[in-house]
Amino acid sequence: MNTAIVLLVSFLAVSCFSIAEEVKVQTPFKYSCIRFDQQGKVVCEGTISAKQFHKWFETVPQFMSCPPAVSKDAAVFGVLVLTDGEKILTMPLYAWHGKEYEGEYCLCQSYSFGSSPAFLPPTFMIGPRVDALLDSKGNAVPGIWHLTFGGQTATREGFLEEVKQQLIRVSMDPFEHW
Amino acid sequence: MKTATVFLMSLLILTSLCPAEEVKVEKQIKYACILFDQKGQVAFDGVLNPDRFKKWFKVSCGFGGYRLEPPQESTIFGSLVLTDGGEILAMPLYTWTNGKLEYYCCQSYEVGAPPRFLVMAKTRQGFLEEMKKQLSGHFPGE
Repeated sequence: MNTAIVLLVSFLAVSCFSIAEEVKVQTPFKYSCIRFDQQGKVVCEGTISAKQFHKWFETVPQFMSCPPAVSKDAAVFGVLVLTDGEKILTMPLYAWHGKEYEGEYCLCQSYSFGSSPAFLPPTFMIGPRVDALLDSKGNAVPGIWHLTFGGQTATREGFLEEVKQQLIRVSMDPFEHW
Repeated sequence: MKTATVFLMSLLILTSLCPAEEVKVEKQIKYACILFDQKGQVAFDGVLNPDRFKKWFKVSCGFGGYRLEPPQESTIFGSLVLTDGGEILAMPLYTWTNGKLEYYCCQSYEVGAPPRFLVMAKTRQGFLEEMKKQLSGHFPGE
């Protein structure tokens, strides 16, 4: 009888620890894209797993580690926030006008130079067109990118739609084994 | 022996349930003040009591909808983010100048329904210190 009780207690203790550990590991990340220029309008929100967060927002891809840089004239018009309740990651939404381009350049990237997260995906992976910004001499400026949506000139709305779609793609994790 | 077993089982079930309930009740609001112009540096962070979060950030202070309006030329240099892991609130940090003085301000965007939390200062350091002070429990008039 004593052996049975000891076994039962051990089983329960192990189960409790397992559940606690599972909850700890699998806390999902909530994301919310908020526009400061529109009364805090939430453009999109959703959830990604901790694994997806790590892969897309904390990992630097080998083939693309350009230093993010924006124009000195860039203005922040919103923020993408990702959090599991403990860790908080923010990525500002920048917009600025270039000289060679009629529309606005929009960018959502991390701030760390030389450690671009995978979230800004190159063309061949996800689909949206990603172009390097050209300087006045026509040379690509490293680390400055803008997104165009559906072949249209970049607008904040188009850019945010693209951010929204990409976050959905991240949550679906189409490149799980990448 | 049977009674002891039942007692032990009940105790185990209770102890395994209690921590979960405790976590649910005492869920804190995490906040972080992030500076976009300092490569995302976290100026300060901490946790806030849910009641205070509701009182200072969710409920309108109700005295006529007064709010400071940052001018159009103001720029956003950071954000105060508050979250319980589900709900996310982000408030921009504004700065502007009138040519002589600099102004710094953090407030909600909702016109006509300002929450109590409003910090304004004329130096960046003073502004961040005041925000930190208030968020760590020294809300004015509380």
